[in-house]
Amino acid sequence: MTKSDDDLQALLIGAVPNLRAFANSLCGDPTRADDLVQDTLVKAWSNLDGFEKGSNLKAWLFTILRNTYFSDLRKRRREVEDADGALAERMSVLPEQHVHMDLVDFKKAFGVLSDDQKEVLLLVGAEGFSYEEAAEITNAAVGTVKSRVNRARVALNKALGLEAGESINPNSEFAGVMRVAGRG
Amino acid sequence: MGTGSDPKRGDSATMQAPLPVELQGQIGQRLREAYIELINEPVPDRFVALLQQLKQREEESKEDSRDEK
Repeated sequence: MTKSDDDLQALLIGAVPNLRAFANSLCGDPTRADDLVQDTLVKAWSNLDGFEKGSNLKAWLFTILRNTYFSDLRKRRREVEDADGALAERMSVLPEQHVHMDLVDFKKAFGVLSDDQKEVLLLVGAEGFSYEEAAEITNAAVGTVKSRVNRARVALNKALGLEAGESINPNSEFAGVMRVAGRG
Repeated sequence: MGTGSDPKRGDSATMQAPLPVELQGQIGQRLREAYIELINEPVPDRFVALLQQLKQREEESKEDSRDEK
């Protein structure tokens, strides 16, 4: 694959919706998420030689994005140590996300997960990467990925207050979510 | 190295009992629902423009190097 290849441009553009969804879910800030996606595209473009032909382009892009995210995070943390409170100030002016009311609880619950848990749950549960692919993307052992996904589910379950068998009750709150899912 | 980033810490060493399959399904469904909503957002023009710009710059730099020879 070469840079003059129009297909490549189409492939990169085609990956943008997923990259944005992943970045948004990871950092929770739409503006920052788009900056992350932009950085990812620029890095991918300038490191195209590092992409193995025939391997998974999407997985490669996700790897670049999460590496960028975590190295930015480390940088930010250092800055925060220098200027204490600056991040908290920024957090308080984040734009309100317009989300479907039924999803608010879930998004709030998702926010309690650690970044490590978020990324593997998104990769495996939302993007459909295999445990092996997720392990490669996050540079972790397969067993670690499985364990993180499991922990993430347990933590989400606790935050949402779900119980096994609850969905059998038609009057439970969850039945409403099921109906919403059916609409989409 | 940094604090709190030990990949082994409390992760694979102690395996927590997995959730019942039913609950896994419920959580998975909610996750995908929220995620699909994000995927369906229209892509801002800036990304198409960015890729065109990168490609253009590439072609220009190729021409420049040819001129120098």
